[in-house]
Amino acid sequence: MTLNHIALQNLRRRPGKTLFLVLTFAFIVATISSLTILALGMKEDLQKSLTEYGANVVISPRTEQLNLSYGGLSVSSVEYEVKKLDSKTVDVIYRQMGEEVTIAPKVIGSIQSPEKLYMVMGVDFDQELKIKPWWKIDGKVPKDNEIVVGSQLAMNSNLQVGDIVDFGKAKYPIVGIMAETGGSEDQGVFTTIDTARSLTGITTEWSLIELNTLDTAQTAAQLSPLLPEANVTEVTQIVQGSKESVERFTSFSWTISLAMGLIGALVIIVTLAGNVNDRARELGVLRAIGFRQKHILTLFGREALIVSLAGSLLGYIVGLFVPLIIGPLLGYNSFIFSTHLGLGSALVVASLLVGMVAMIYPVWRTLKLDLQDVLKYI
Amino acid sequence: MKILDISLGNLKRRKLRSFLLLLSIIIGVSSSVFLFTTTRSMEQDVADKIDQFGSNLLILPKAGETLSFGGVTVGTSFGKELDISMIPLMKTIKNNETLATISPKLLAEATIQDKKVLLVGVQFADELRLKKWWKIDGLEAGQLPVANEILIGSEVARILKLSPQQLVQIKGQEFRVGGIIQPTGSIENDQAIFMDLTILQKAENKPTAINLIEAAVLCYTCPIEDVTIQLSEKLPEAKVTALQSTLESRDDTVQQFSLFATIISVILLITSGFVVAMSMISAVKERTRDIGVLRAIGFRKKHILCMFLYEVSLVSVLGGLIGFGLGMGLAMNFGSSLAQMTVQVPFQPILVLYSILAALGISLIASIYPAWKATKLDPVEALRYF
Repeated sequence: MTLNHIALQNLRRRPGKTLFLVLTFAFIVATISSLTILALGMKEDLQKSLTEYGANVVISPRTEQLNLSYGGLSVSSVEYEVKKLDSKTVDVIYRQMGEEVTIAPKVIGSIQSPEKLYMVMGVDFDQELKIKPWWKIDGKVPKDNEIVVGSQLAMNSNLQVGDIVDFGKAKYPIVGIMAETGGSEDQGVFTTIDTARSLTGITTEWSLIELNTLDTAQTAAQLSPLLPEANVTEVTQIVQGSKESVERFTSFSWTISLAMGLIGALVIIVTLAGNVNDRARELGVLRAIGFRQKHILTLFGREALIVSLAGSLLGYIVGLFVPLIIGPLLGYNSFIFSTHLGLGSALVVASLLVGMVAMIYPVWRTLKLDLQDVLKYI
Repeated sequence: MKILDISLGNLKRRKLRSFLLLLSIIIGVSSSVFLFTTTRSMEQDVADKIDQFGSNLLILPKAGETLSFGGVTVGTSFGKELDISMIPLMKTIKNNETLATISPKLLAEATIQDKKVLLVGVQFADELRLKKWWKIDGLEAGQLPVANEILIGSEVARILKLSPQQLVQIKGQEFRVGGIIQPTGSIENDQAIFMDLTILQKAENKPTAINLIEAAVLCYTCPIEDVTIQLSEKLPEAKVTALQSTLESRDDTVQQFSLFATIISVILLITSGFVVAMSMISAVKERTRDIGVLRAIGFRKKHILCMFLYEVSLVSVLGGLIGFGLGMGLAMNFGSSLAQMTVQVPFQPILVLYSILAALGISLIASIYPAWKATKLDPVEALRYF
């Protein structure tokens, strides 16, 4: 009979206690691993939703005249020629970038009606609404020869859905009103690109093209040489902002996982110390029949090894499946089963270490007591 | 000898065992309290940081509108000017603690090298705090331009061929280019010259005028709609609008943090409950033999359960109390530095009640049942339990 045998027999003789120890390990490892996996999934989800949000690359005409307005206010009433992007620009972008980017080209111009000067924006609504979820149209999305007006314009000119606006050249019905955005859009008249072209007289060119892409730096670098007449710029506010948010989430989840790990280790230490404490008498018996300190330490070390290995493996496997069940409940359907081997091995190694130390230290302390005292222990 | 005396004696006799039991309750309660309070504060911290990344509120003159979008201007009209005295007025609203950064701006036109340029007068400290994503060539991070320095947008630098440290004549005064703002993708900012507000006010001969105010409002505790309404009441001359484009993505992000914090609270509550319950069960099971002895010498089941009730209540109330103190103390002292946040974890006395109730409830449920089962065993069987 080897020490291995004794260790195994010990565990088998008290199935309740062994199960309790294994379950403690399993529970803690499962909690930490499922939390980490959930956090990873949530981080990806956050990254994805932030990346898809807003225009992160802007293509504007390169002018030698400087813009003289800020925050929707202008300092000069001088009429100057607004430069435009070449009509081929959109095709060039499509050819280079393909389907993976959302391309939202715009035609922006003015039309003088008998009473008022209107800013007309022709946009591709399918693309535009994808990258601007804050554009909320109360009513319908306009088709050709229909318009939507900004909230400020609607309020100032007392316009409602169903009204017909006379632009001089043509009359179009209002099919929707855009909810207040706080931006300069609130003054605009929105319509399809074709209608905007006929209203403003901008026949083939584009005023501005906004893109949403996954890798802004790469997109900007690829497009800049192809469009020498345009400025291709990353919108740093959005790019930096989403990067910072994602980083913050990562550090948040790391801090929590670390704290959970520490708490888990503490729980294991307390549980194992209690276990050894209950077995002080057993230790005394082993000493009395002639076991050496070394043997007893090895014996308990083996036990700790078996228990923590079984517990952490069980916990790791359970932890892999928990996110698959909890994820959809929280509204994330993107969890795919993956083995997370790095995480698993880190957790198993950590539990082995914690288990060994937590078991051997109290044993070693008990061994240093006088044998007589130990055997008196009930 | 009363039953309570037996309970106390029991706890005293097995000092280490009682201590370990107490310890597991303390760990359970304090970790729950610590993580719960810290994650809530972290959530607020994140919300505040996002809110201070760029402006989410814009104050413009009521009259006057310019037809421009994304830097493409199609028509203009002059708005009335605002006054710098509005800023102290803004700070008198009820929720004034939510106003994190207020950046007033004056706009003016100037001619440099025969080109018309837009001058934006700003208070550099506030403006740079608002526009954290600006990378400025020629200026160290955290450094502010001095009074006679200007910051120029990348397009201005390209068109006027300016480089850092170069001297420029604007409105008869000489300025040094303090730095060039790297392309930001916002045409307004890329094509403007930023200079000190008071200098521009003096040069324009409008000592108190401003054109617009950009502000960052913290909306974790107070919805931005409320702040907008409060500001509108104080500033009848101006139009106060919240920028929906920044608010929507903020809500998404904060929601994600909030959800994660909630998941953690729930997981931790379950884990702590489990740990406390497990230690209780094993502590009671060990004493099956004791129960046998007590039964053998004539104690009633009722007495034995009562004895456990006293013991468990004592340990769990004490554990809950110490756990709360430890968790709350750690969170208040180390929580914010551990999570690298600026928000301090506040003292939440109500949690002491929850801590004690939870510890007591879980311990009682977990201990009374095995104790009751042990009392039902034949004393002879119970005595054989090892």
